Amino acid sequence: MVSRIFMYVLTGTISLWAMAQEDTLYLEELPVYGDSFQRFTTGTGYRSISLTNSSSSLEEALSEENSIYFKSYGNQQLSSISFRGTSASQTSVLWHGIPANYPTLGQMDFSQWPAWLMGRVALQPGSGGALYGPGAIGGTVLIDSELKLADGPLVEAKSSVGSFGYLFTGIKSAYGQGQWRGATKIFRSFLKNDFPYEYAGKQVRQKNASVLNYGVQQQLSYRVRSNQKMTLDAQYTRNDREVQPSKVSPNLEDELKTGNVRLAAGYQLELPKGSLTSTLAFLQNDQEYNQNDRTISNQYSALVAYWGELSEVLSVRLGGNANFFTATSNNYVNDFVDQQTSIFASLQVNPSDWWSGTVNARQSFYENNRPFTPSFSQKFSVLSTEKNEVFMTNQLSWGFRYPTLNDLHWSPGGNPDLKPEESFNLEGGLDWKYRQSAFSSRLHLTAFKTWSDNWIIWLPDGSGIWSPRNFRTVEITGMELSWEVSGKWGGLLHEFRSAYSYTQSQNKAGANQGKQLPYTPLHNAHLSLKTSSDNGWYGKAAADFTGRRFTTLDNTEMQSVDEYLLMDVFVGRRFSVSDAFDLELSVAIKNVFDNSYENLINRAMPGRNYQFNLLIKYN
Amino acid sequence: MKNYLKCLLLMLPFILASCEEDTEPQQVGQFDAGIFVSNEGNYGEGDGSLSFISSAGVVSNNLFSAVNGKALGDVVQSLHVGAGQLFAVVNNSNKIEAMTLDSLKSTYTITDVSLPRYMVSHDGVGFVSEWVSFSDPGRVTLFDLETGAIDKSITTDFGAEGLIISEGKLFVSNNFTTTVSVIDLASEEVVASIQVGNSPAGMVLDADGDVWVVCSGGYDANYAPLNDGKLVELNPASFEVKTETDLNANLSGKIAVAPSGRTIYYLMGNKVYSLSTDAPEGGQVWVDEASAVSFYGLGVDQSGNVYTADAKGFAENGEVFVYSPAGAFQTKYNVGRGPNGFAFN
Repeated sequence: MVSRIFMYVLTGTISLWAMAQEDTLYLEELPVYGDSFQRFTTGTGYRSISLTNSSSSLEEALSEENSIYFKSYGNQQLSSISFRGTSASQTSVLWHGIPANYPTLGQMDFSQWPAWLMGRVALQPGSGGALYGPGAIGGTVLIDSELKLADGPLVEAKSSVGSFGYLFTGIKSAYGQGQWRGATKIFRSFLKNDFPYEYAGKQVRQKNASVLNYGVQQQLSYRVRSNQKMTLDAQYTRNDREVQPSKVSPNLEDELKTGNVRLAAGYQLELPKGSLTSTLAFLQNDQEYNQNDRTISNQYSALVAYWGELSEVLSVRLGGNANFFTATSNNYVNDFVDQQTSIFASLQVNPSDWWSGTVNARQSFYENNRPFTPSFSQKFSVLSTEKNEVFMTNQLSWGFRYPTLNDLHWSPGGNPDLKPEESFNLEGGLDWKYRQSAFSSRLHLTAFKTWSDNWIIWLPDGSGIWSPRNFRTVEITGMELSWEVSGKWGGLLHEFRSAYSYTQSQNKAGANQGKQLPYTPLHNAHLSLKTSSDNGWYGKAAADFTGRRFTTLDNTEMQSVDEYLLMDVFVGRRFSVSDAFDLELSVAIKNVFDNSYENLINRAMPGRNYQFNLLIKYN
Repeated sequence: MKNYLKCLLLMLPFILASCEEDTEPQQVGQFDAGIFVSNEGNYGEGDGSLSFISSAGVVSNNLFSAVNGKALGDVVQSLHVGAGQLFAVVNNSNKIEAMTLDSLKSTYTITDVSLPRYMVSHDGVGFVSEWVSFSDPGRVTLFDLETGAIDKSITTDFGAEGLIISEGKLFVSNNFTTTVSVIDLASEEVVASIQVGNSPAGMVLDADGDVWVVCSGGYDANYAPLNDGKLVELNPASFEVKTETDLNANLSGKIAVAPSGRTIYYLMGNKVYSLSTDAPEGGQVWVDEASAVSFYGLGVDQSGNVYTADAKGFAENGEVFVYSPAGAFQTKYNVGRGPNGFAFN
C-alpha cells in the first residue's frame, strides 16, 4: 500500500517537473493572504484561501486543501465534508460568524455555495478556534464575503465554457458614494453533465445529471461615523439538479431543487483599544425532492462579540450568540422553535517574544444540555532570525455538535432525548519558515488525536422504524505535513506546494472495533506547481491523490473504492488593454490522464475535460 | 473478459477469507443444494449483491458481479427460483436479472418494470409485482420465463407487494393500502379485492392451502405507529377472512412457513415469533437474538431450519443466523450489505 502511494506521488512529481521544463507554468487563484477572519477565530492555526474570481463551487475550491475529504455523490452533486476523519456534520461552517450548516441535516452541501459570492475562505482544523459555532469537532470552515471597499467603481465579468455542456456567467460590480459602499454580484452556471464513462466493458454516457445554479448577492455598507459601520449582506441562490444516477441504475430521474436565502446585518464599532461586532442574520434553506417532498428550515441568529486589549500583553474576547430554528416538512409533525445559545470568553496572553497562549471557554445551552467546551493553545518560538523562524504550537480542546433537526424531530423515529456528540482533541505542530530575498519556504507538521463519543447513528427499532441513538465512539489519529516553496528563477515566479495527510479514524464501540470509518481515506496527498511571469502568463499543474476508502464499517476490501490520482493543468494570460481595462484568458484541462475513478461507489466521474475562461475587469 | 478476470482477481481475497472454516475453495458453478441470499445494498450506492451458502456451509459473496462483471444493482429486493433460473428483482434499478441456476451467468435483463418488488412463477410465466410509483396504483407484470418478453400488466392497487398462488388464483398484497387483490390466472383479470388490514406484505400458504398475509400495521397522521399489525388467514376459494390474529404492534412484512404448513414465523426487531395455524395466538417469541441489531429477512429451508438476516443498520455487511426447527441456534454466516431474503435451491 505504502509503496503504491509512494509510486503515485513519485509519478506525480516527475510529471510535474517534466511539464515545468516544457512549458511556462501557471497559477490559479488561491494565494494566501492575511485575515479578516481573526474576528471569528482564536489562536493561529487557520489557513486563509483567496477565491478571487473563482467560478467553481466551494468543494472544488477547497479540493486542494490538506485534511479535508469531500464525499461527492457525482460530478457537481451533493458534496459533504469530512474534516480530519470526522463526519459531515462535525464541521462547523460560519458565515459572518453565524453557523450556516443546513440545520435539518446539520451539514453543508459544498457543491451548492458558489465561490463567486465569496472573497475568501479560511479553514481551521480542530475544535480550538470555534468559539462562535457549534459542531467544530473536525474543524471550521469560515466563509468571508466581507465587502471590499473599492476606491473607484469596479466591474468584473467572467464567462466559462467547458466540456459536457458547462457554461458559467458571472458579473460583479462594486461602487461607492460618500459614506456608502456597495457591491452586486450575479451568476448563473449550467452543466449538462453528459460525460462518457466505461462500465462493464461498455462505453456509456451519463444521463439525468444536469445542474443549474444561479444566484444574486447585494452588499451594502454605511459608515455612520469614522469608528462605526453598518453592513448588509443579502444573497439568494438556487441549485436545481437532477440527482446523478449510479452506474447500476443509469435511468433514474430524481430531482432536487434547493433555494437558499442568507441575510446578515452587521454593526461594527471601533474603540480606542478594541472593537464591538454584532450581527443579526436570517438563513432559509428550502429543499424540494421530486416535486413532492419539501423541507423548509428557517434560522434566526444574533451574535455579539467584544474584543479588547487590556494591556500590552493581554487581550480579551467576550460574546454570545443565539440561534433559533423553525422548519416545515412532511416529516416534521409538530411546530417547534429550537433554540441554541452560547456565551464565550477568550483570553490571549503575549508576555514575551517566545511564548503566547490562548484560553477559550464556551458555554452552550440547548434543551437540558449544557455543553461546556474550553480549549487552550500555546505557541513557542524556538528560533527567530532574519531568515529563519521556527515555532511550535500545541492545543487541547473540547468540542461538540448539536443533534440535527432531523435527529430530533423526524417522524417517525426522531429522538428528542439525544445528547450532543462530544470530542476531546490534542494536537501539536511544528513550523519552519525560511525567507530570503528571492526564495521562501514553509514546512508545517501537525500531529493530532481526537477522542469522540456519542456519535448519533440511525438504527432500526423493533418494528423496523429507524431512530437515531447516541451509539458510536471514534478515535482519530492523524498527521498533516505540508511544504511550500516559492522563489524566482529565470525571471519567473515559481510556487511549489505539497501536502500529505494521514487520518486513521477508527470505530471504538460495538462490533468492528478498530475499523476505519467508511469514506475516510487513510492517505491524501497534493502536489502543485504554479509559475507566473511578469508579462502576464501563468500556469499551474496540480495533482491530487485520494486513498482507498471503505464503504462499510467492516472494511470489506471488495466493497472499497479504489484510490485515485487526478491531475489538472491550467494555463492563462492576463492582458492590460488600457489603464482601466484588464483581460484574462485561461484554459484548464482537468483529469489530464483521463483516469477513470469513483469518489462514491458506483457513481461515475468525468474523464479528461476542458474549460475556457474569459475574465474582463474594468476599474 | 478483462473485467471478468479483474473481478475474479478482486474476489480472490474474499473467497480465501470466506473459506476459513472450509479450506476447499468454493467453485463458481455449483449451486445445486444451498441457499441464495439477496443483499439489497445501501440505497443509492448500487452495491446490492448475491450471496450463496452451500450445503457444506461455505459462503460465497458478490457472486453476480464476479460472474458477470457488473454490479447486480441498487436495492436487490428479492430472489426467485423457477424454470432452472434464478431471478433477482432489483427495486431501485428498475430491473429483473435472470441468471442460469448452474453458472449464474446473466441470461436476460428486464428493464420495463418500475420499482419491482417480488416474483412468483407458474406454467412458464413469471409474475412480478411493481409499485410503479408512490402516486400511481401498483401492478403485476407477466412475462415469459424463457425469453423475458413481457406479456401484459394487470393493475391492482397502490404498493403491489407480496405474491402467492393458490387454487388458480394469484393473491397480491397492496402494501400502501389495506387490501389483497385476487387475479384469476385463467382470465388474467382482477376478480376480487379483500380487506385485510394496514400495510399487507408477505404471504404464505398453510397445510390447507389457506393464504396467510402479514399486515405490518399503519401510522397515524403524526407518523406514530398504530400498533395494529396482524396476521390474516384467507380462504383461497371464497376469499373470506377465516381468522385474524392481532399482534398489537407494528412489525416487519416478512413471513415464512414451516414445511409442515402448520407453523408460521414472523419478525419484530431482533426476535422471531412463531404461530400455530391451528390455534393462532400472537406474541409467541420463538427466538430472541441479543447479538442481532434487527432482523430484515426470513426464510425456512426444506428441513425446517429457519434463516434470519440481520442488516445491521446497513453501515456494515450483514449476517445470516440459522436455527434448528426446535429454535436452537445453529450457526451464522457473513453475507453482503443489507441481506433481506432467501431463495432455496
